[in-house]
Amino acid sequence: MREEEALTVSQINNRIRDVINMGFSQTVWICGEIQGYNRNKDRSHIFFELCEKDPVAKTIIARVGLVIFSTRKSYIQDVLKCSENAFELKDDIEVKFLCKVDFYPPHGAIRLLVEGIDPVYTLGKIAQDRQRLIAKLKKEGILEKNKGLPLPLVPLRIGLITAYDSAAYNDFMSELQLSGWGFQVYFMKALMQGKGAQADVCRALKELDRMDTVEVIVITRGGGSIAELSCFDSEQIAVTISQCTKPVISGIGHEINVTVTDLAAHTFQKTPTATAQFLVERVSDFLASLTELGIELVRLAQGRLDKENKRLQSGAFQLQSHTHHYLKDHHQVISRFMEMLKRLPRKLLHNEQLTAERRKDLLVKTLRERLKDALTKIQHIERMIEIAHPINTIRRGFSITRTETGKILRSVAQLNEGTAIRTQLADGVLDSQVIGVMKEAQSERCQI
Amino acid sequence: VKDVKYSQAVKRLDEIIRKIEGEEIDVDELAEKVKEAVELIQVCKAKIEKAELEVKNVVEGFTQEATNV
Repeated sequence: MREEEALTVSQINNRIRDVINMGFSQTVWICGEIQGYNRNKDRSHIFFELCEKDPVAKTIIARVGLVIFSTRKSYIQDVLKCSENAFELKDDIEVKFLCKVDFYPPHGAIRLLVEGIDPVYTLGKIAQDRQRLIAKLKKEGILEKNKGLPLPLVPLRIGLITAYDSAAYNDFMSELQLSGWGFQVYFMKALMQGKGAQADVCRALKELDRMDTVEVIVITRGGGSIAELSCFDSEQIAVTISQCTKPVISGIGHEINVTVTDLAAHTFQKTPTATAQFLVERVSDFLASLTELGIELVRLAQGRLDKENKRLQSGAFQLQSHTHHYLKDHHQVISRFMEMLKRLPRKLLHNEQLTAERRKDLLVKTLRERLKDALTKIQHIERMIEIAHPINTIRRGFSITRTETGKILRSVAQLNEGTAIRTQLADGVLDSQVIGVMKEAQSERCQI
Repeated sequence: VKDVKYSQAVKRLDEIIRKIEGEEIDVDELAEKVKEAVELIQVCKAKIEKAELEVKNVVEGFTQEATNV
């Protein structure tokens, strides 16, 4: 190579610049992900990079340096502010810049000079990512898990996840205090924006979920741009919420879009204040329902008591009437006894009287018969006696001889010679004296 | 006689009545038995009346209490 043909570095750089300026005479729109912005954002000229990642492997396949000059900074910020959902430039977000391609000879490097920005692109990207994520989580059932948990009737012990000493914290706490109910808040501070927010929120969720006393977990923060809130469009947070055993209530300040965290939560509210109000209302509703239940309970109890009272009253009346009937039956039995007692002894006495009469009659009859018999007997005897009377015998020729002493003489042995004897005949007596005694044989005496 | 149980009294009355009815009772004892039976009847009647009155009082007391509740 000849010496005169050699170029200085300046010369070559200037030539490169000329070629580039010729090739990129117009500004161009460039899309990519911001890198290295955050650490330079406070400088007057902000140097950073845009990169392109492999859609599958997520490795960087191309990068280019950019610069926002101080003269362009406020313009860019104005464009962002004017767009409907303002977001800030920061690392990791997809942006679309209007750039002038420039080669800076002192550094020998290509720089894209940022001239303008299209916020719609970033918002669209965020929305797209979000929609994709939502569809995936829905399919996996992660969005429904926490909704299946029962929300306590009286959620007084609250696990709170928010940024330390933030407006959200103060709003939430003052709203709870205003209610006057005895809320207990277990505060777990966490980053609520930026790259570290997802992991921090997940850590706080897990810690609060482990605490037995916590009944419900609240994730809340104040309002912000869509880009700011995009950390809550997080699969990691959604999955952690789905694994929680306690209902999670999100109150992530936003007006238009709902974050994935909101969708995965049991319930979502718009602001920290609204979230606190939701819990307060839950408690108030419970108290109101308690009052209603109390009234209903008293009414039911009263009704039941009235019913039982009536039943007992009717039972008591029945008891009285049954007793009355029962005793009436006994009364009748006793009355019957009385009647029988009046009647029966008289009957018995009457019967006895009749028997006595009958006996008397029988006695009289018997006596009469006896007397008659006796009379007959007597008459018979009389006749017999009449027949047997000695006088009659005497009249037939027999006589009775007696000794001097009057003894009837039956044997000659009673006599001696010379004994005086008196013999009775039918018409008188004669006295004699024994002149001889001859004893006869027994049979001969009998013949006499 | 006054200390007798109602059921015993009724049993005894039955017995006396049956005996009188069956004329198993001696006339000498009749007046005495009738006297005993009358006494038993009076005791039974008194018992019935007392029971009825007590039941009435208890039920009335209860229903009054119930209406006051």
